[in-house]
Amino acid sequence: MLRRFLAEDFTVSKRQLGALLLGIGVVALLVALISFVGQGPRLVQVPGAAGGVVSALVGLTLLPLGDMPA
Amino acid sequence: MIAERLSHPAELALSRTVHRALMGLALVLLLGHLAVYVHYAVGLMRFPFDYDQGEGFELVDTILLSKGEWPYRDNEVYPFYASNYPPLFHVLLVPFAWVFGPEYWYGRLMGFVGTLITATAIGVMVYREERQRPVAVLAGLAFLASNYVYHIGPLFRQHMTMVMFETLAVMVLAPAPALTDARQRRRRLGLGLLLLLAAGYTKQHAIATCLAAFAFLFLRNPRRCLVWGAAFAAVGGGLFLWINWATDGQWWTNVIAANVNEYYPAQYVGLLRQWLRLHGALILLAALFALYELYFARLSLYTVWWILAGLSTVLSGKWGAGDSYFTTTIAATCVLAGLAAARTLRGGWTLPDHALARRLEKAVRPWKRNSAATAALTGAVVPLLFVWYALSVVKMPTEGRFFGWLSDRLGLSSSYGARYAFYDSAGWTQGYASIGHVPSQTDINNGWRIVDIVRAFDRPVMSEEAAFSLRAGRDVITNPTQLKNLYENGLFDPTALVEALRAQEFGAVIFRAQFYPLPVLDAVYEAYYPAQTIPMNGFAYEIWLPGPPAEQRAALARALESVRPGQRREIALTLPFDQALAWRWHALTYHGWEADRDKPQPSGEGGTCIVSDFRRGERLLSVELCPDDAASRLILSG
Repeated sequence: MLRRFLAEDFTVSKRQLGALLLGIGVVALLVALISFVGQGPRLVQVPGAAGGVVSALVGLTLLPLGDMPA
Repeated sequence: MIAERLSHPAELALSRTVHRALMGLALVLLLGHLAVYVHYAVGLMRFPFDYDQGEGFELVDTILLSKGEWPYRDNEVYPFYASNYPPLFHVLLVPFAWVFGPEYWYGRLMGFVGTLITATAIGVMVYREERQRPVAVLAGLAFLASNYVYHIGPLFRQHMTMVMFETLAVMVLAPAPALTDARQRRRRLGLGLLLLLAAGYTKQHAIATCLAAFAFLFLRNPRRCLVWGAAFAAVGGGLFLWINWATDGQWWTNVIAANVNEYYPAQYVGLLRQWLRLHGALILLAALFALYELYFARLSLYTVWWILAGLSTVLSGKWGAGDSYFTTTIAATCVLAGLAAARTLRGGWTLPDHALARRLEKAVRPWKRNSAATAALTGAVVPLLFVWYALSVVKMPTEGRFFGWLSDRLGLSSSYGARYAFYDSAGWTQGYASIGHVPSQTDINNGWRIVDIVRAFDRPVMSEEAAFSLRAGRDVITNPTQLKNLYENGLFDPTALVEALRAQEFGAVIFRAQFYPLPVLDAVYEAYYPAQTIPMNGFAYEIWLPGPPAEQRAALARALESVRPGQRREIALTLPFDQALAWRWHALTYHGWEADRDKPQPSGEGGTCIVSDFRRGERLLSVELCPDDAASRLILSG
């Protein structure tokens, strides 16, 4: 799989990009949540939560687009 | 029905005429904006002092580098100065510094030319992709018309040079992955990443464009992204480590650690709203293009850049940040808006074969069937969007032979009242730089008055702006906001500077906004007093002169605490009577005493003294000041 990923002709698909954005969104939401609980910087909380939600939603909508190149 | 009518040759000709007229109108309006911008830029280049706070420190950095010295220094020793920006912008100006010395015009010229190059690059990208010359011109002009670009462009600041390098990098990198000739591709990638490196070493904010470029390379081919990313990190990181080593760690402290500031979400929200309001017409087109690429085509570097640059605007909520953080996004918006507009006009949108695309295809089928009507409609709507944008970003001087007449005709009055004559449709929100007017001859004259004050002292002057010291040929003392940022991050010990101020080692202090660390401000308040205010550029420059020496100030502090009702304390002051009079009021206020309601009265023999009452809580104090040859005496009565 790694060999395929690092191949000369490999290109990321819409589905893979969707999964990536979904993952980024979930991580961003978690970081925002941890920052909120731990009273961390506001720069992390508000934009982190908003960006996380948007990223996850966009990621979800890209999943059905399959192998179309991103 | 409409479609049938528009298919008729006469109606078709009319729709073409309407399109041409609206395109012409958009072009005229945007050229008008360009004329206002050129007028402003020339006006600024002729102004020999700081126009925007911080310009002078960029000039100091340039001068230091022209002498082969780093501007990343220890802030805790004289002259308590260090820069918080990377060096490339200043390095590019070094030849000018060698030839012309410390002048503001060449830094402003550099910023201005940088915006013209950026606008040209935007036009080139739109034309290269869509072959629609008029739209390419409109997209480039749209960048220069933005209120944000207008007032930041011709400043002696590195931001717009960074945007120029970012835009050029995107222009070079965007077609690279699609090149089949490996040598050509490598050459393009190498040049593009070099331009990105230049952007990053001009200002740190270029990180968003760097991320966009590598995200794009990753989407196209992860292997290529990793290989080029490693090379980029090695060169960029190596440079970083070398400068940090050469400056004994001051590079890290001043350029990275000092930029971690307090964050204000309200500032970001205000700026975001303002950006949307001003650039709404272009953002609409850009968003359409981005959504199309996200769901129906491959993501181009332009779209990835627009998204990440847009996300990076969140940093505009930091203390000290502002609308300039949107300028990269504005460049990307102009590219996307131009691409969307040009593709619409040439009918170049295509849809792939998937469920979502088929649904959209069904929805737009009636429009596709009536292609004449669609072409007529889009032919009118596209230029109208540029007209809408041009009318949203109106700004101009409201005085002068031509602009005074024009603003009167348009019914525009200054947005800043009597402060300066300038109309700005942007309004104001926290973080928006309230500049844009052209400085007057009075401003220039008043600047030279301040320079004369600096020249009158044999000691250096601590000025919140560098221009006055530079013009007077004196050392530039402190970079105020840098000290404030470092102090608030626990990275600056102000002891040495506070001691220098208390010992009155500086001939005077010049304030504009008092953006110094609190202990530094307190030391100024204790050892100096406000003697004069000189207006320049809509700001009040306060000249603070030294009060009496430390032992006389300490004697006053002791007397204020110890004097009781019926008691009297007399303090001999070395200050002349008129200066002591101004200092007395300030010193009493500094120690928490307020002037009582009664006005100061003449007293003493022949009425040569001045007496007034001060109150602190329940305590009342009579303070009399008398001339004593060239000095004076202060008498406190409880």
